[in-house]
Amino acid sequence: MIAPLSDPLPLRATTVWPDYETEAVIPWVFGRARVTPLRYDVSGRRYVLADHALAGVDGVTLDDLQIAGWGFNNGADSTGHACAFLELAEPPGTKKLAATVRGLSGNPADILAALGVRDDLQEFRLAMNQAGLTLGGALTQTMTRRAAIQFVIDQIGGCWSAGMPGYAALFPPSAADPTWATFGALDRGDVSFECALGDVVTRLVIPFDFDDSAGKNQQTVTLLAASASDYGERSFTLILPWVKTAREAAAVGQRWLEWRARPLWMLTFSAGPDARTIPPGGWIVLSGADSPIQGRAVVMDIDPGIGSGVVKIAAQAPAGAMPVITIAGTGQVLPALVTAYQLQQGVDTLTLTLTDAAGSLLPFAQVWIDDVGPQTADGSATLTLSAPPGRHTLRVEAPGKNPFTTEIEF
Amino acid sequence: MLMLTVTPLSGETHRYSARSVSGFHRPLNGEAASLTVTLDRDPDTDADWFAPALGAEATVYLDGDALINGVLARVQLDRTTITVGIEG
Repeated sequence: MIAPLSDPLPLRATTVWPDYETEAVIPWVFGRARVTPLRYDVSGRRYVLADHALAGVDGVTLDDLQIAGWGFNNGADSTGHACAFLELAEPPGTKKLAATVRGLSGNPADILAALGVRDDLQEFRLAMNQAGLTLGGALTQTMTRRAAIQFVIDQIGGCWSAGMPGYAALFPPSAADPTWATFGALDRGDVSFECALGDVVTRLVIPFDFDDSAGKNQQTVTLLAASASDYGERSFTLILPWVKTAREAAAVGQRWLEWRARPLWMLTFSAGPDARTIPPGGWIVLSGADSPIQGRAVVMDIDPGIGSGVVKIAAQAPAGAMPVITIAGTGQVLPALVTAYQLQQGVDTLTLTLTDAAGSLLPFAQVWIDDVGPQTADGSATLTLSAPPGRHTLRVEAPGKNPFTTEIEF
Repeated sequence: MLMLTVTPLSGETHRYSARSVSGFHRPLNGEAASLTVTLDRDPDTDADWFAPALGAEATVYLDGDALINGVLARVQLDRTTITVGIEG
């Protein structure tokens, strides 16, 4: 049975369990991703990582620090549904728990198949393998099947249509793909070509590598088209949360920018009934002195004109030569600043040892307590503060690190 | 006489005779001033419009007086006419 694209994905929520901490979607995880485990029982030591079996768990962190006391197993929850479980040696308390996991196949074709699209995606799967595109991420929000498909396709800069051979492909289509029809000046009726400045993009910023646990993308790459000298620097942000490497982000962005860094002709015209078999996403060729496009264009929409005999085609193609694209910059989110502290017994003082997420010391870091300060740590990254017993707010700043604010109690 | 000039970011100013203008308005708040210029297609200048210099400085003159000075924002072609959108 084929499910409509307007149907929501059959994601389950924690409310299917007799006991749950918060109402949340139990995620589907594809490829490698960092997720927030969902508490499963009253002990605070058993968590669910995904609503299916996982290939493995690569690490578990508490407040961004790797911990050792954990185990992972695939099993069934109280409803008998397959889940992946995380067992902790100790409850995490108020610390933020996260896990890096390996989920279902990250091949975009396999993801589409898991979304219930179709099974005949072999050609698309092969194309993704050849392009070296593998995604990683977790579905943690309810959405329609159509929205989920579009999200996955957007991650690879692709296109999809039930009327397209192979269902999905990269966009624009491969140069090796066939030309479905040629239209000269006398083959087109009611022709109109249109392009707009708002569609031109010459600088593309791509945030990618989303961390579900942190709730933000971890890296960016910025591409610049040489055609900025002709059309000005026109910036756009293309968010690719499920793309994990700079190589893949740059490859998707380059293909995207090569198409968009120049005037993009959108054309519509009518044709005879022979054009009915042209699929969306297919190449056509335009010729004739009246056409600004001399060569290939991609069919974006086709009305086969059943009943009228007039086929209406919408297509697009960029004008001019393909611009040179260069990487203008890369960036990554600074690692979270993590503090550890010791309490000296019997006196109203607090000794902090300041480290980053990897446990490296942060000498000469500056600390504010209840907005009073700063006081500077010594070369061993330790600092002794005086404060009365109770709750206090600490703010820590260190060169090259994100400022960090936390509450402590002693 | 209606005239359109287009000066690309890199290149010389091109001049075109225009047939008509429409949609010229200058709202007090919100959108920028804009207008649409219609030109007849001409084999001698078609190539300029086949890869239009979107974002270029564009000025429309009526009898030598500038109606609007803005940027080339849209171009639409059909078999006989070129319709150019300018935003100021």
